[in-house]
Amino acid sequence: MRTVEIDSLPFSLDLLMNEYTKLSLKKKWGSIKTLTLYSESPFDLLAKTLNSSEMEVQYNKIFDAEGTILFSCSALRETIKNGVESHITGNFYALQKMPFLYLITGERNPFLPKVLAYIAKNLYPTAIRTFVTSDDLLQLLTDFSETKQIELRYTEFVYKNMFEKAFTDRRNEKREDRGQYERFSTAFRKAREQGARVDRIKVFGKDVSFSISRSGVLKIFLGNFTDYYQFFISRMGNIAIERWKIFEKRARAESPNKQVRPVLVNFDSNVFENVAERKLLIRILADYKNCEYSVIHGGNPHVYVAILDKIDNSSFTVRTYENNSLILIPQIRTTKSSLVRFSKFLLDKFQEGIPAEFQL
Amino acid sequence: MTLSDDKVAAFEAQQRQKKIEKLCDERMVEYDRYYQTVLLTLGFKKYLEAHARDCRFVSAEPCFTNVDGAEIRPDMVLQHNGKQGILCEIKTSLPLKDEHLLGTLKQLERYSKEVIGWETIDRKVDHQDVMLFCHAFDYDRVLEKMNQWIADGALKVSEISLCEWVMAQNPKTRKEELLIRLRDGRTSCDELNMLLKKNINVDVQQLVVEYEECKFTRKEPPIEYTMNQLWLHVFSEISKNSADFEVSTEKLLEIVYEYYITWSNVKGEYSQVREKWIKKALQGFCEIGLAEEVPDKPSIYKILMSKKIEKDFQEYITEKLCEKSIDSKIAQKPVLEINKDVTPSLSDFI
Repeated sequence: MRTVEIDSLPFSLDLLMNEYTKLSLKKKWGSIKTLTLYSESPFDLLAKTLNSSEMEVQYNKIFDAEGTILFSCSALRETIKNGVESHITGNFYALQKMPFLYLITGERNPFLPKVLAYIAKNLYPTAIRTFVTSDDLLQLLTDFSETKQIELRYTEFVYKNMFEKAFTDRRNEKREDRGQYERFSTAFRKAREQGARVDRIKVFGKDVSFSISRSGVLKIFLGNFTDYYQFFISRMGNIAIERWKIFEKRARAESPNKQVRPVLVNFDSNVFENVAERKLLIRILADYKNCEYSVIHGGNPHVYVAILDKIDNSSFTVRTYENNSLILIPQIRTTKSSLVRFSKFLLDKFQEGIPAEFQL
Repeated sequence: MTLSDDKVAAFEAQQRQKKIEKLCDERMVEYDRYYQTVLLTLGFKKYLEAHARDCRFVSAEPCFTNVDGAEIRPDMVLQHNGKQGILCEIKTSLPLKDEHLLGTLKQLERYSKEVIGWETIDRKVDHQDVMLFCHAFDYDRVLEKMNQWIADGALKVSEISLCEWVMAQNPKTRKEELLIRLRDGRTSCDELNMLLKKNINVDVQQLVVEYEECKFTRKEPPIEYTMNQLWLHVFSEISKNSADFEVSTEKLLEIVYEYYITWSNVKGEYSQVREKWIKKALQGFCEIGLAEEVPDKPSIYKILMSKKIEKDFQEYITEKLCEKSIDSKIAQKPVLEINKDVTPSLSDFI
């Protein structure tokens, strides 16, 4: 069995979070939701940038020790859609332990997608949402299951194949006999058999019930916060930033010899074997938000597209390489966050790929 | 029966639209061919460096003079056996109309006379050949015409050989390759003849990094190509957000000189990107409303980076430029001068 590095919260903070979790889970359909951001900026500075005509965020520092800071926050978001006004309010905690910022709430939906995800989106690129791969999810669940000696079975999972088609495999939740449910690892195998990856999975075991997604969202339905923090929340961020190291200082301007240093993204199937798939890649790229792009060579045989990320005016080109890989080629100015954002886009809309150093 | 004004207007609008679309298609092909030409030059250079012992790739940005003192700028220069040289001309696409084709080929006449500027002590060679590289799509037509014109004296070139090139997927390896082969004539370099006769295959994937540093050849690129590079890759070095900003042509040149290095890797007289291309591209942005000239500040432009272009940027600028070009043609007033050497098909059309 692998030993799992454990990161813990300061004792009093741990108590506080467990108390909050207990209270939230007591409510009918209660759950705790967390999402993880990567940011080097203190939350109070970030929060100041959030207030707008659409949103108001108030925060209050309630804990600051051992490099961990907790803010108790409340947020109000007003939206108008098709002439209908809606107000969403709620409370959440912002837990900062550099370089991560965890947004944690016990509020019911749609607080997570409409407010917390919106906050995360508005903080980009100062703060970037972390994400992991399907294999990472499997590893996290395995480590938890083995270390805690808890047999985990799944109730449902969502899997995505190439080009974002999503499917849900749901078990009949009314079944009383737990043995009727299959082990979590089966879900991952089933997804693979479909040429797809698990995007989100809901599992349960002795005294635990939760769901976890590649986008780094953890929803706790049963269990204590300490375990979830140690085995999932703190680890997902670290997995992400470890993988993002490859995107650091890639710009030609950051190289003494103005070198071009591409990143190879490997997929584990031959996704670019056919012209049709290569053309589809172009169509997907056209949906990439906040960017301008030019198709320089259109898929016969290779795809070569130039992209300008308008969020921070950072640019790179994308070129299909082997049948199972593409390369991201940084240009004069290419930020880490733009490459991270793009790799998340590939994961969501195309297929899960693993970035690696490019060598001719 | 006479047509109503509405119908005439509708017909004219339809005709205008058709012309714009046709011109756009031609420009897009030009663009892609330019991209392929850069890859061809890179590939040929890389191949010779790896496989040829005698024949060497001297440069892709030379400036020669002929006996009359006129400047001559071939696309590639090769030298072999001490004092023998080959001047290469790459044609991305060649005009369909005979008179234009002849006009283009006549440029080669200047290569047939003795030129000065070689990498030798006295800048001369004892013998020089001329090689024309044309795309496989153009090859048969060009060969037939060229032989005919040489025979009847309309084209006065000697020692010329013809190569064809194409970028295609190798059906076996499924890799994308540049294929270059000698189809007609021979040079005085036996080694090169032998290599070219048995076909040169270059794996295009091997060129991905080099292409990023060498995006321009000696040939003037289609204006959209330069505009694309500036907008998507160069402007971001000046502005870190998408607000409008002002920039001088000098500043832009400084950046492109730094990042798009010369083919020989030496900074010097012959840069990869030319000032007039940059100026033309900036004028292009002004024409289509993506930049403005700043009053009283010559050579300073305000780049309207805040404009959002929802579609493929290259398509967008091509369309806008073609609209301008067609409309000015209709109004008999040229607005934007597009280099006729690069766009023979455009001049055919206009």
